[in-house]
Amino acid sequence: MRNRFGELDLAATAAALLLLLFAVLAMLAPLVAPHDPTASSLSARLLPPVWSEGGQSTYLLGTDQLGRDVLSRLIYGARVSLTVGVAAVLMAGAIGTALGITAGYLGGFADQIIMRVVDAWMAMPSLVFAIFLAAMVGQSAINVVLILGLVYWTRYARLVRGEVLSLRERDFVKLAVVTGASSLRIMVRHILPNVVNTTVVLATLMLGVVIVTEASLSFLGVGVPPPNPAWGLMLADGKQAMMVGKWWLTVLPGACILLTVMSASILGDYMRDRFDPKGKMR
Amino acid sequence: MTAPLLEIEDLAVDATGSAGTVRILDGVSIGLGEGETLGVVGESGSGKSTLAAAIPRLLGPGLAISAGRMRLAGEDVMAMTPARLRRMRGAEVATILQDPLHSLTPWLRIGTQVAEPAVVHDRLSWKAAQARALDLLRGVWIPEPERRLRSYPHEMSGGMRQRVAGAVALSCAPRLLIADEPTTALDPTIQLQYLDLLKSLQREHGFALILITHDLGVVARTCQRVGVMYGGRFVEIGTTAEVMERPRHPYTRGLIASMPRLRSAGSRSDRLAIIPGQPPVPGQMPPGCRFHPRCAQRFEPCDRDSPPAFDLGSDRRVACWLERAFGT
Amino acid sequence: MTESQAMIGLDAVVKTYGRAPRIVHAVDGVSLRVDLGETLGIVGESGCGKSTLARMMLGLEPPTSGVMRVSGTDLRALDAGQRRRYRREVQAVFQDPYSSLNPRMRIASTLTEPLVVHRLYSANERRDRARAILERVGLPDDTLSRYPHEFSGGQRQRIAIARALILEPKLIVLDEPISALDVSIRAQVLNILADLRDAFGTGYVFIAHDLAAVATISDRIAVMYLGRIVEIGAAKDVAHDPAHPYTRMLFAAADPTAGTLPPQGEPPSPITPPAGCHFHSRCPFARPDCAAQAPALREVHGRLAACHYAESL
Repeated sequence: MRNRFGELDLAATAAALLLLLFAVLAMLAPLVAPHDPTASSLSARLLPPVWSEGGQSTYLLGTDQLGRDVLSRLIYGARVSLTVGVAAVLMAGAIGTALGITAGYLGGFADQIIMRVVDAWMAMPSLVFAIFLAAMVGQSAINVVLILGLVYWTRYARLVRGEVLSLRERDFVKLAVVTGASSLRIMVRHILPNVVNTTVVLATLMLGVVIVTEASLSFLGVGVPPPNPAWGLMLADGKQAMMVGKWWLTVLPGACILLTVMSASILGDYMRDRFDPKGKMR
Repeated sequence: MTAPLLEIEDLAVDATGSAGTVRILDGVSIGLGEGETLGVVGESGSGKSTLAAAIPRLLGPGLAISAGRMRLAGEDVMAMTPARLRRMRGAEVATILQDPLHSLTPWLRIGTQVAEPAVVHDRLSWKAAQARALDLLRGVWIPEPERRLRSYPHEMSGGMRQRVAGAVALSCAPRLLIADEPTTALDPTIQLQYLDLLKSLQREHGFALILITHDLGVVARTCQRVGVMYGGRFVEIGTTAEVMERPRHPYTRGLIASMPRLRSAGSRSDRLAIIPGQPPVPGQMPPGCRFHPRCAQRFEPCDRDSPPAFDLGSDRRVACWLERAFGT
Repeated sequence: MTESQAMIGLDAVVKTYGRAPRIVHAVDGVSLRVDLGETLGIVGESGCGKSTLARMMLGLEPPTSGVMRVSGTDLRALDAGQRRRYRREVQAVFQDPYSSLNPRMRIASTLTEPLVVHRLYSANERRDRARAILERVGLPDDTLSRYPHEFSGGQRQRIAIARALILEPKLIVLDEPISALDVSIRAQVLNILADLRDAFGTGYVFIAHDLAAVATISDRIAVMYLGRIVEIGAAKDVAHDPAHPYTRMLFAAADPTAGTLPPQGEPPSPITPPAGCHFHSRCPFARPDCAAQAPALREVHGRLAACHYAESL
């Protein structure tokens, strides 16, 4: 990947490769994971990683309190985190873009209503809001996607609306009106394709935020239900063990979350610089 | 005859970007005496604005003079030190651009901006400079100049701002004024007022003027001589009357013939004479004469060799192979 | 001619922007008609209201007061079918060819969209029509599969004209269609417009500040000043023998061979236009009563002019 001056952008390239690696591992989880992530083995509980004193080569990254293989759980956890993260980002993007275009293009009453809702929504802290919703609907991976979509759509709506306000003044939109095209047609055929770049960039930037929120929900026990191997859940399970020196149960899933979020953020910054040089998204 | 004020010989400017190096100006030669007026006419991509920026050596990033000589009153512009260049810009060569909204600083009062060059270049006190600024505003026909000294640029109309830009340019009595499309953003009646102002200022202050425009009408009103640019080169230079009435280069002829005229009002069957095709883009210049793909009179050498500027005497030069063929 | 033949009729149309005390009278009581197949040129300086007038004719903005009629019917009273017909019969071309084409649409989609909207022809026929209209404006077939960024400003403007023509409208409103183009391209576009008019019988409202171009293509010319029409009549009359002092000033400014005195003053602010005749503050012939009473448009030497002293100048 190259920056504006045609030079190789090392950070963005590394971030993209890392995300790609996680995605490939997640997709091929049944093939690459050495063990069943939910199979417990009482004889092999709390084994440290292979390079530590007492580590075993069958459990490269050690095992947890129930004797489940940490590496396999991390790989399957990538599956959960990335799937939930991407689905939630798409969901938020779809809701936010549709409402943002509607508010921006139709203006007037529709705009007033939608933007007041956005203001109210954004006044609430995202995580508290998400916990509140989660407590209402109960635990499941699908519910987490719905919750995150409902919490984060407002960012898309606000950004897209701003973009639409300027697109609406472009001559090709006015010409479509003159030709008799319906508002729906103009929004779908003329406005939407011109805001896709913006939403894709925002989606990449949001991926990290959403994954952290999902991990937080799982950590707090209102996200993905056990025994699914979600990173946030692993973190929660490992927190007691950390006090007694079993660091791998928290540090490893924590590192996975950190690397994914950082990569998404770096990649998002890179795409913003490429597609949004005027900095509307800053 | 004394040495001319400005001599440019075989000037070339290159643009370097991710797509490699592209020649924007090529083999440009002009001479300009003290107090003379030269109009430079061309379309987008002709290189006329690059020429305007190249003379005070104010080319933007990625652009560089790659060949040629430039002398200002006998002094080699290419050899000037940075300090000498700063003094030259503003004090000896001043510039007016198309949109004064961009060349004036939005948060400074007009009085400050008009007075500043005198403080910087002529080391006047701010007080003395303000007095001079008032004179300058009066000189560019600004009504109520005392009040206008305290105005901000956005409080003025486009025509007024352009006059202020003129006052800033004249504040250090330059010997050469380069005006790049000064009237393009103005309404026709205001355009005419501004051209009239330029002419009268020139009579009064005696500076030489290079007026860059896409509008032949502007040149016809203002300039003694005109140079027509196409694809980074001059294709024809001569006195305005000669060039307008007896254009020799096929491009100049086509341009003049294609201008709509008031005379032909209301006649449905009339069509304008046209030049087919479109002006070339820098980086995709055709070989040989750059006009040949659009030229109805092209013949054997045109797509191969670039025509030199044939000197027709009385300061008339035409870069077209037809001149050799006609044996003029 | 009867009222029913007028493609578009404006009756005392006013358009204001803003709120008191900063109300801009962009269009201030304009009445005119555009007949079927004629070309009406509208000239004036920036801020005279010519573009606002265009937007109202295109139904992009409603008049603040006054009536706009389409084929004799009040625009506000059109039923669904009539509105559809209006959207089919009146098309537009704007100034900036870089803003006129959707950058994310292939030229084929841009050209055929009006046909799709009006449910005309099959997909194949639509493509054939797009190809035919492209040929009319002098662009090759392979244009269809390309995107706007692959074309120059002049080519884009041809595409915009082709798009306006594909519905075979009765009127095209052209707002500064050539001012963003290179000098050698302007004549090409003007000729194309003249040829298409002959071929399709389309009428034009041609708005520009380039008087010579307007004079060349128009049958009639309307001259606007600060929201009002000051003179309207046959192109020959208005261009060769202007009756209103402002028209004189404007046309003298456009003629490089005219050795006239430069015009005086600048257009006043449309928020606080001068009382009486708006032009009196710049008029070399103004008399005291010009500031007192606004002159009505009346017949002067075979055209309409709004000047108390048009005959005696």
